[in-house]
Amino acid sequence: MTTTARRRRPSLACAVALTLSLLTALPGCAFQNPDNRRLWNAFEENLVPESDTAFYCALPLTIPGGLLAIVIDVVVVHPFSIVDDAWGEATEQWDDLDWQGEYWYEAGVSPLRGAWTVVHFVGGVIGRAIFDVPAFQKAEPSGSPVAEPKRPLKVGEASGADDSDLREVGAAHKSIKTWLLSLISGAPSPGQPLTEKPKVAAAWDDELQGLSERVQSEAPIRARIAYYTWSFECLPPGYESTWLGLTDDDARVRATMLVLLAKRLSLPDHVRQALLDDDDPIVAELAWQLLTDHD
Amino acid sequence: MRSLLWLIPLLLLAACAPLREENRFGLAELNEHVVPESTAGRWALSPVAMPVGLATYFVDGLLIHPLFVWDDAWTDTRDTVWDTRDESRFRKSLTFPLRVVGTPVVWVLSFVGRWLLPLENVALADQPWDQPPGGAG
Repeated sequence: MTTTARRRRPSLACAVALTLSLLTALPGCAFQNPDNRRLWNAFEENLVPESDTAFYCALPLTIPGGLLAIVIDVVVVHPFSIVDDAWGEATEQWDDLDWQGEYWYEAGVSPLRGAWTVVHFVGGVIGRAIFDVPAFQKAEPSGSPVAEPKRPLKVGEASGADDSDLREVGAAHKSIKTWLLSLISGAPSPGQPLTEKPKVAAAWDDELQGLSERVQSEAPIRARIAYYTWSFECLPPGYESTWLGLTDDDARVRATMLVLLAKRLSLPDHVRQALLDDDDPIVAELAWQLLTDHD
Repeated sequence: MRSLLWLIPLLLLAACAPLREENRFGLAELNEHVVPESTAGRWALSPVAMPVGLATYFVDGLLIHPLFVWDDAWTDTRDTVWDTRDESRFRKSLTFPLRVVGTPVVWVLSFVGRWLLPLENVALADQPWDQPPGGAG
């Protein structure tokens, strides 16, 4: 019995190690995204010494500690962190049911829908635990005709930042976050947080995207203008919300951004037309002056 | 009880076609004529509506839907096997036996596919029985 147990232990450990190695090596696996390494990130930020001597001296402790952090990240932290995404995705099919027009259909398939919800949830948890799936976002009803399409963002997506840049990316993230929060509070900190596009792209994630959306909806006018100007300069293509400044609710913002950006930006037709047809006569006139080939 | 186990995959397969609203014949009739106006009424009816709705859903998929797709399957077969307008007389003669043999095979495959999957039905206007496929030309 003891011999069998002894024989089994190494083979089980090897199987676990091999599985973890394979999972972490998969290009699309969840662990490739630094966002999904919460414990490891925290470990690296707080427990790994910076000076060379201390760094090498601490290696006998930090290497096993780091490996343990990876295992806990993969097995516990990440799977638990995606449960709400999987739940949101699985239960989305219960939204917008037509109980009036399709009563018998909705009532009849509700047991099937319930069973499918369970399958979808379990599959979603397993899939999200293993693969790097973008966070679930509830489908929103289509907004204004000039609304910019959103896309899921993840840290390091645009710049291809590797693990060695993590600390730098963390600092950039913190700097941008502080600045965005100061804009929302109405007391913008002086200057701009960061102007290097690759660093901004590496740091940009769902949290910063959420804050930037709050700036656009909650911040005072001057803070919004500061944000739009910065985003035009610093956010890489695909992330920038430059023309949102031109479709801001406040005519003063639209007019200011039009003057600042009209000659530096190729506008989509729908944004250009919306400005030409603007309800505010000043914005409409500015658009006519700046966006059309009048003589 | 075990002898009925084969019904499960069949029911699951037949559950796909009525996902398209146009394939819910019985359910459409029920929705048209038997829906309580009030929310309370709909809740009160739900113990009946769930089993009846589910049974009607499967009846729609298993029994009624195939009655509406057999002719679509024939249109598929005709377009796949018998559209010989661009072929020479020799080639038509050569392939005639193959077409005869292939006709039931293609028809059965198309029929089963159209029966079980939520495919778009062929519009009646696209089934000109009195002229070759693609029009009179």
